[in-house]
Amino acid sequence: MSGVSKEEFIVANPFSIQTSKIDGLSIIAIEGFVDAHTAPSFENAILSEIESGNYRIVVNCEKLNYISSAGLGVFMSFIEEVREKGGDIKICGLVDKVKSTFVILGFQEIFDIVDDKTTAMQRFAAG
Amino acid sequence: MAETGMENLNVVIINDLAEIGRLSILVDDFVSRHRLPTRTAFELNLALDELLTNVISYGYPDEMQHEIQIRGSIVDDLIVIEIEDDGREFNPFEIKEPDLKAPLVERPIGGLGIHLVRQMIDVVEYRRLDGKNIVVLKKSVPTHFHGECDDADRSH
Repeated sequence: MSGVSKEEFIVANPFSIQTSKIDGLSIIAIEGFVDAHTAPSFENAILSEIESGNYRIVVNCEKLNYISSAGLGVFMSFIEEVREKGGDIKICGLVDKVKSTFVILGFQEIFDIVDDKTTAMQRFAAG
Repeated sequence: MAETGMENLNVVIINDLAEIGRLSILVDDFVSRHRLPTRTAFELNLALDELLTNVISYGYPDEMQHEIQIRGSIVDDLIVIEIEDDGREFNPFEIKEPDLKAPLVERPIGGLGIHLVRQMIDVVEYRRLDGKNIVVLKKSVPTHFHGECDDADRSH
Protein backbone atom coordinates (compact mmCIF):
# COMPACT_ATOMS: atom_id res chain seq x y z
CA MET A 1 0.00 0.00 0.00
CA SER A 2 1.53 3.32 -1.00
CA GLY A 3 0.95 6.86 0.20
CA VAL A 4 -0.08 5.92 3.72
CA SER A 5 0.03 8.65 6.32
CA LYS A 6 -0.72 8.11 9.96
CA GLU A 7 -1.39 10.37 12.88
CA GLU A 8 -2.26 9.26 16.37
CA PHE A 9 -3.62 11.14 19.33
CA ILE A 10 -3.87 9.76 22.84
CA VAL A 11 -6.43 11.32 25.19
CA ALA A 12 -8.44 10.24 28.25
CA ASN A 13 -10.71 8.39 25.89
CA PRO A 14 -8.46 7.04 23.18
CA PHE A 15 -8.88 8.31 19.67
CA SER A 16 -6.79 7.63 16.62
CA ILE A 17 -7.10 8.27 12.94
CA GLN A 18 -5.37 6.74 9.96
CA THR A 19 -5.64 7.73 6.33
CA SER A 20 -4.73 5.41 3.48
CA LYS A 21 -5.20 5.39 -0.29
CA ILE A 22 -6.71 2.44 -2.08
CA ASP A 23 -7.65 2.46 -5.77
CA GLY A 24 -7.80 6.25 -5.86
CA LEU A 25 -10.03 6.46 -2.80
CA SER A 26 -9.09 8.03 0.51
CA ILE A 27 -9.91 5.67 3.37
CA ILE A 28 -10.03 7.45 6.71
CA ALA A 29 -10.28 5.01 9.63
CA ILE A 30 -11.40 6.59 12.89
CA GLU A 31 -11.04 4.66 16.13
CA GLY A 32 -12.21 5.23 19.66
CA PHE A 33 -13.99 8.38 20.74
CA VAL A 34 -14.88 11.37 18.60
CA ASP A 35 -16.09 14.25 20.73
CA ALA A 36 -15.53 18.01 20.78
CA HIS A 37 -12.01 17.40 22.08
CA THR A 38 -10.94 15.01 19.31
CA ALA A 39 -13.19 16.16 16.43
CA PRO A 40 -10.64 18.78 15.23
CA SER A 41 -8.20 15.94 14.37
CA PHE A 42 -10.91 14.24 12.32
CA GLU A 43 -11.74 17.54 10.66
CA ASN A 44 -8.08 18.08 9.75
CA ALA A 45 -7.85 14.60 8.24
CA ILE A 46 -10.78 15.23 5.89
CA LEU A 47 -9.59 18.75 5.12
CA SER A 48 -6.19 17.40 4.23
CA GLU A 49 -7.75 15.05 1.65
CA ILE A 50 -9.89 17.80 0.15
CA GLU A 51 -6.96 20.17 -0.09
CA SER A 52 -5.05 17.45 -1.94
CA GLY A 53 -7.91 17.16 -4.41
CA ASN A 54 -9.17 13.84 -3.03
CA TYR A 55 -12.95 14.06 -2.97
CA ARG A 56 -13.77 10.35 -2.92
CA ILE A 57 -13.62 9.53 0.76
CA VAL A 58 -14.61 6.48 2.79
CA VAL A 59 -14.80 6.96 6.55
CA ASN A 60 -14.32 3.55 8.12
CA CYS A 61 -16.00 3.50 11.55
CA GLU A 62 -15.66 -0.18 12.42
CA LYS A 63 -13.52 0.69 15.47
CA LEU A 64 -15.45 3.82 16.40
CA ASN A 65 -16.90 3.46 19.90
CA TYR A 66 -18.50 6.84 20.33
CA ILE A 67 -19.34 10.01 18.42
CA SER A 68 -21.05 13.18 19.60
CA SER A 69 -22.64 15.97 17.57
CA ALA A 70 -19.23 17.65 17.36
CA GLY A 71 -17.97 14.67 15.35
CA LEU A 72 -21.15 14.39 13.30
CA GLY A 73 -20.79 18.07 12.47
CA VAL A 74 -17.49 17.27 10.73
CA PHE A 75 -19.29 15.01 8.24
CA MET A 76 -21.88 17.71 7.67
CA SER A 77 -19.41 20.50 7.15
CA PHE A 78 -17.72 18.80 4.18
CA ILE A 79 -20.37 16.74 2.42
CA GLU A 80 -21.73 19.49 0.19
CA GLU A 81 -18.29 20.58 -0.94
CA VAL A 82 -17.11 17.08 -1.88
CA ARG A 83 -20.34 16.36 -3.75
CA GLU A 84 -20.02 19.61 -5.67
CA LYS A 85 -16.60 18.37 -6.78
CA GLY A 86 -18.08 15.08 -7.93
CA GLY A 87 -17.00 13.09 -4.90
CA ASP A 88 -18.70 11.76 -1.82
CA ILE A 89 -18.11 10.82 1.80
CA LYS A 90 -19.31 7.27 2.41
CA ILE A 91 -19.62 5.94 5.91
CA CYS A 92 -19.07 2.28 6.74
CA GLY A 93 -18.72 -0.17 9.62
CA LEU A 94 -20.90 1.51 12.24
CA VAL A 95 -21.52 -0.59 15.35
CA ASP A 96 -25.14 -0.54 16.54
CA LYS A 97 -25.02 1.97 19.37
CA VAL A 98 -22.93 4.43 17.33
CA LYS A 99 -25.22 3.93 14.36
CA SER A 100 -28.17 4.93 16.53
CA THR A 101 -26.59 8.38 17.00
CA PHE A 102 -26.34 8.81 13.23
CA VAL A 103 -29.91 7.62 12.75
CA ILE A 104 -31.39 9.92 15.43
CA LEU A 105 -30.00 12.87 13.51
CA GLY A 106 -31.28 11.63 10.16
CA PHE A 107 -27.87 10.94 8.65
CA GLN A 108 -29.06 7.87 6.82
CA GLU A 109 -31.16 10.13 4.59
CA ILE A 110 -28.21 12.29 3.62
CA PHE A 111 -25.20 10.01 3.68
CA ASP A 112 -24.47 6.75 1.97
CA ILE A 113 -24.06 4.50 5.03
CA VAL A 114 -23.00 0.94 4.23
CA ASP A 115 -21.99 -2.13 6.21
CA ASP A 116 -18.32 -2.42 5.38
CA LYS A 117 -15.36 -0.92 3.57
CA THR A 118 -15.63 -3.28 0.60
CA THR A 119 -19.21 -2.22 -0.02
CA ALA A 120 -18.28 1.44 0.30
CA MET A 121 -15.53 1.01 -2.29
CA GLN A 122 -17.89 -0.85 -4.60
CA ARG A 123 -20.35 2.05 -4.36
CA PHE A 124 -17.69 4.40 -5.66
CA ALA A 125 -16.78 1.95 -8.41
CA ALA A 126 -20.45 1.79 -9.41
CA GLY A 127 -20.47 5.60 -9.66
CA MET B 1 -34.91 2.69 47.42
CA ALA B 2 -32.61 5.55 48.39
CA GLU B 3 -28.95 4.94 47.69
CA THR B 4 -26.02 5.48 49.98
CA GLY B 5 -23.39 8.12 49.18
CA MET B 6 -20.87 5.50 48.09
CA GLU B 7 -23.01 4.61 45.14
CA ASN B 8 -23.69 8.15 44.04
CA LEU B 9 -21.80 10.05 41.38
CA ASN B 10 -20.11 13.20 42.63
CA VAL B 11 -17.59 14.76 40.27
CA VAL B 12 -16.12 18.21 39.80
CA ILE B 13 -14.57 18.97 36.42
CA ILE B 14 -12.95 22.15 35.14
CA ASN B 15 -13.93 23.94 31.94
CA ASP B 16 -11.65 21.95 29.65
CA LEU B 17 -13.08 19.68 26.94
CA ALA B 18 -10.57 16.96 27.86
CA GLU B 19 -12.35 16.62 31.21
CA ILE B 20 -15.43 15.11 29.53
CA GLY B 21 -13.44 11.96 28.74
CA ARG B 22 -12.40 11.63 32.37
CA LEU B 23 -16.00 12.13 33.51
CA SER B 24 -17.21 9.41 31.15
CA ILE B 25 -15.02 6.83 32.89
CA LEU B 26 -16.57 7.81 36.24
CA VAL B 27 -20.06 7.60 34.76
CA ASP B 28 -19.23 4.12 33.45
CA ASP B 29 -18.23 3.14 37.00
CA PHE B 30 -21.40 4.67 38.47
CA VAL B 31 -23.58 2.75 36.03
CA SER B 32 -21.75 -0.53 36.52
CA ARG B 33 -21.93 -0.19 40.35
CA HIS B 34 -25.68 -0.13 39.93
CA ARG B 35 -25.51 -3.14 37.60
CA LEU B 36 -27.16 -1.23 34.78
CA PRO B 37 -26.44 -2.00 31.13
CA THR B 38 -23.51 -0.35 29.35
CA ARG B 39 -26.06 1.06 26.92
CA THR B 40 -27.32 3.26 29.76
CA ALA B 41 -23.79 4.54 30.40
CA PHE B 42 -23.42 5.28 26.69
CA GLU B 43 -26.66 7.28 26.64
CA LEU B 44 -25.88 9.22 29.83
CA ASN B 45 -22.38 10.02 28.58
CA LEU B 46 -23.65 11.24 25.24
CA ALA B 47 -26.16 13.55 26.94
CA LEU B 48 -23.56 14.83 29.43
CA ASP B 49 -21.00 15.33 26.65
CA GLU B 50 -23.40 17.44 24.57
CA LEU B 51 -24.45 19.64 27.49
CA LEU B 52 -20.96 20.06 28.95
CA THR B 53 -19.43 20.78 25.55
CA ASN B 54 -21.90 23.66 25.20
CA VAL B 55 -21.09 25.00 28.68
CA ILE B 56 -17.32 24.71 28.26
CA SER B 57 -17.25 26.09 24.71
CA TYR B 58 -19.74 28.95 25.04
CA GLY B 59 -20.72 29.36 28.69
CA TYR B 60 -18.03 31.61 30.08
CA PRO B 61 -17.44 35.28 29.43
CA ASP B 62 -13.81 35.08 30.63
CA GLU B 63 -10.73 32.90 30.20
CA MET B 64 -10.64 31.84 33.84
CA GLN B 65 -10.82 28.31 35.18
CA HIS B 66 -14.29 27.33 36.33
CA GLU B 67 -15.66 24.30 38.11
CA ILE B 68 -18.67 22.31 36.98
CA GLN B 69 -20.31 19.89 39.39
CA ILE B 70 -21.95 16.70 38.25
CA ARG B 71 -24.03 14.72 40.71
CA GLY B 72 -25.82 11.49 40.02
CA SER B 73 -28.04 9.23 42.05
CA ILE B 74 -30.62 6.56 41.54
CA VAL B 75 -33.85 6.91 43.41
CA ASP B 76 -36.37 4.14 42.96
CA ASP B 77 -36.29 3.46 39.24
CA LEU B 78 -35.02 6.86 38.18
CA ILE B 79 -31.46 7.91 37.38
CA VAL B 80 -31.11 11.59 38.26
CA ILE B 81 -28.08 13.56 37.05
CA GLU B 82 -27.56 17.19 37.98
CA ILE B 83 -25.11 19.55 36.30
CA GLU B 84 -24.27 22.84 37.99
CA ASP B 85 -22.14 25.55 36.39
CA ASP B 86 -21.42 29.21 37.11
CA GLY B 87 -21.45 30.28 33.46
CA ARG B 88 -23.73 32.71 31.68
CA GLU B 89 -27.42 32.18 32.25
CA PHE B 90 -28.45 29.75 29.57
CA ASN B 91 -31.28 27.27 29.28
CA PRO B 92 -30.18 24.73 26.65
CA PHE B 93 -33.68 23.36 26.34
CA GLU B 94 -34.97 26.60 24.91
CA ILE B 95 -33.05 25.83 21.73
CA LYS B 96 -35.50 25.08 18.96
CA GLU B 97 -35.72 21.46 17.87
CA PRO B 98 -33.75 21.06 14.65
CA ASP B 99 -35.60 20.47 11.41
CA LEU B 100 -34.01 17.18 10.38
CA LYS B 101 -35.45 17.54 6.90
CA ALA B 102 -33.83 20.92 6.35
CA PRO B 103 -30.83 21.28 4.03
CA LEU B 104 -27.60 20.47 5.85
CA VAL B 105 -26.25 23.99 5.88
CA GLU B 106 -29.37 25.24 7.63
CA ARG B 107 -29.00 22.90 10.59
CA PRO B 108 -27.30 24.45 13.58
CA ILE B 109 -24.84 22.02 15.21
CA GLY B 110 -25.84 23.03 18.75
CA GLY B 111 -29.44 22.16 18.01
CA LEU B 112 -28.40 18.67 16.96
CA GLY B 113 -26.62 18.13 20.27
CA ILE B 114 -29.66 19.10 22.30
CA HIS B 115 -31.81 16.91 20.06
CA LEU B 116 -29.54 13.99 21.00
CA VAL B 117 -29.88 14.85 24.71
CA ARG B 118 -33.66 14.73 24.43
CA GLN B 119 -33.48 11.33 22.76
CA MET B 120 -31.21 9.90 25.46
CA ILE B 121 -33.00 11.35 28.49
CA ASP B 122 -36.65 11.04 29.56
CA VAL B 123 -37.07 14.31 31.47
CA VAL B 124 -34.91 17.43 31.25
CA GLU B 125 -35.19 20.41 33.59
CA TYR B 126 -33.41 23.73 33.92
CA ARG B 127 -33.33 26.36 36.60
CA ARG B 128 -31.18 29.36 37.45
CA LEU B 129 -30.32 29.54 41.14
CA ASP B 130 -27.86 31.81 42.97
CA GLY B 131 -26.00 32.73 39.78
CA LYS B 132 -25.73 29.12 38.64
CA ASN B 133 -27.23 27.10 35.84
CA ILE B 134 -28.69 23.84 37.09
CA VAL B 135 -29.67 21.19 34.59
CA VAL B 136 -31.40 18.06 35.82
CA LEU B 137 -31.62 14.93 33.70
CA LYS B 138 -33.96 12.09 34.62
CA LYS B 139 -33.85 8.73 32.98
CA SER B 140 -35.81 5.62 33.81
CA VAL B 141 -33.79 2.59 34.79
CA PRO B 142 -34.23 0.10 31.96
CA THR B 143 -36.54 -2.66 33.10
CA HIS B 144 -35.41 -5.38 30.72
CA PHE B 145 -31.80 -6.21 30.19
CA HIS B 146 -29.68 -9.30 30.42
CA GLY B 147 -27.10 -9.04 33.17
CA GLU B 148 -24.87 -6.04 33.50
CA CYS B 149 -23.51 -5.93 29.98
CA ASP B 150 -25.68 -5.74 26.87
CA ASP B 151 -22.85 -4.74 24.58
CA ALA B 152 -19.64 -6.55 23.92
CA ASP B 153 -17.82 -3.32 23.18
CA ARG B 154 -16.87 -0.68 25.69
CA SER B 155 -19.30 2.10 26.38
CA HIS B 156 -18.21 5.70 26.41
